[in-house]
Amino acid sequence: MAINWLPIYKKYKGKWVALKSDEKTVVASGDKAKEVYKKAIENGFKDPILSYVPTKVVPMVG
Amino acid sequence: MRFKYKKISPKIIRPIIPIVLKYKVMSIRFEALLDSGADMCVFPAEIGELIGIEIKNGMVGDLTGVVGNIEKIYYHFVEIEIGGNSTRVLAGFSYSKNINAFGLLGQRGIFSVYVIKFQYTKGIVDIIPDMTVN
Repeated sequence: MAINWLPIYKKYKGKWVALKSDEKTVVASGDKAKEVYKKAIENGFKDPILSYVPTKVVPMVG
Repeated sequence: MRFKYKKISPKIIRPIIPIVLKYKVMSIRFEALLDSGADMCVFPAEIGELIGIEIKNGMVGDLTGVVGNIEKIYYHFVEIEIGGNSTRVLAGFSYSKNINAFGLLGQRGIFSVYVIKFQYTKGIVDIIPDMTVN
């Protein structure tokens, strides 16, 4: 079954997020990937997974 | 290696998987979309800069999507690690959010070295190194 990112996509539109290894717990967020990565490291998360949350989700082809 | 799709809207799940993107001695974990419709791998320039790539020093190229808009991309060699397996890939980096901020794992570099099985109804994707490739 797919991992549910709906709460993340609702709360962090247009933001970069840093996730724990479970791929669903957000440990930092912000406007720039570098700033989010730095925040996650400062919060003690050594190897965060970065992802960008689009402002809008529309079907994609190609 | 088995990965789960990500549910990003009530009706959309996508095969977005965690990868490690490496450049020289730096690396970052990043969520990227497995896209069999993409000819190559493309990543946001912000992620490339984070691992020390001088994006605009790369060879410039054009990239387009199915809606036809053309974007500029910059090519750099990187290592892409999936589930502990690494492959060297000539990837494009783009400043445009239109490209898809996930990053795209395309035919050249990913589908060329892995056998990939999408199981949409189960929300899982299996990625196996293609042992027939040298």
